Amino acid sequence: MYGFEITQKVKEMTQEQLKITEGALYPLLHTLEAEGLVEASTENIGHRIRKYYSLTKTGKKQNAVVGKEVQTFVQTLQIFFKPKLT
Amino acid sequence: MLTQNQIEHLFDFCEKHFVRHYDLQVELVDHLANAIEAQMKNQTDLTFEKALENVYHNFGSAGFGPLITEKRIAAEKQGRSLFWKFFKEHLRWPKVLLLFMIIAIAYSLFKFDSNFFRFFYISIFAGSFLIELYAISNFTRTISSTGKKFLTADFSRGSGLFFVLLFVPFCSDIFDKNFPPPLHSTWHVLFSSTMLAILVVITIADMQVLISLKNKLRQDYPNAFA
Repeated sequence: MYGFEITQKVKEMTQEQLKITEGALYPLLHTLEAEGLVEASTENIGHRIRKYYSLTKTGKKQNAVVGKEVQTFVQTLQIFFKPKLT
Repeated sequence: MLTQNQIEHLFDFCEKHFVRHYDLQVELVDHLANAIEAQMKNQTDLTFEKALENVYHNFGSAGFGPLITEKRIAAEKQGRSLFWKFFKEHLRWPKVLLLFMIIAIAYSLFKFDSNFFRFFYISIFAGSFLIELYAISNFTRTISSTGKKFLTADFSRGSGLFFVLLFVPFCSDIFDKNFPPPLHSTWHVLFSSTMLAILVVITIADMQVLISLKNKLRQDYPNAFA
């Protein structure tokens, strides 16, 4: 996915509850790239070049770990908030 | 879809807002173009200039500033990671054999004749320095030939030369009349030889970084290198 696509996808998936600003997205993507968690490739689109980001093997592993951590966190929060969130 | 002129205008816009590096400009131009196209699609009476103003506003009051800073930090980090990745590869089997081979040759030469050892040491040291200089100048020339600046190139090169210069103190004492010191001479020679072997590995790793960066830039921005 490319930067703009990510911002739109997040907006769409969260029904505009979550908006990633450009100023936050690109620094994050560049940091993840430097850490080897995502890799970038480019493609010519009409008059311009588009940079696509994808998870590396390490990034996929890290994604699974973080996913579990978030899940545990949400489950812990559910203890405090009733009725249970779905 | 924006026209060629509008895309060029976006490159100029980035330049005017202190985004001097082509690799960052390309990404920003695509983002701006996408956002402008989306706005113009929703509001057909919206002009290109007005849409650009709206989109730039979304970057916040600091504009592209934080993005440039973060990208610079990321580029430095990427360069370091790449260097250590290649360096560590040479400490693994079978590449580590090169390290042992240099130590063994240096030590054997010392046992045979300390002047041979000196010659070998200086030759490898000078060779590493010259190779490093050549690799950096070759890399700089290739990048300069594009007429563009690349952040990834500016902040991820030349660490090897710094390491080579750090080795000068290790190298200087072998010219000493009393080299090696009578006490612990074996350990002294082994230590010097190990440092020399590490220097060679650093030089090779640094060259690999430069080659890898060059290839990646060529692959990502073929038009710039055409």
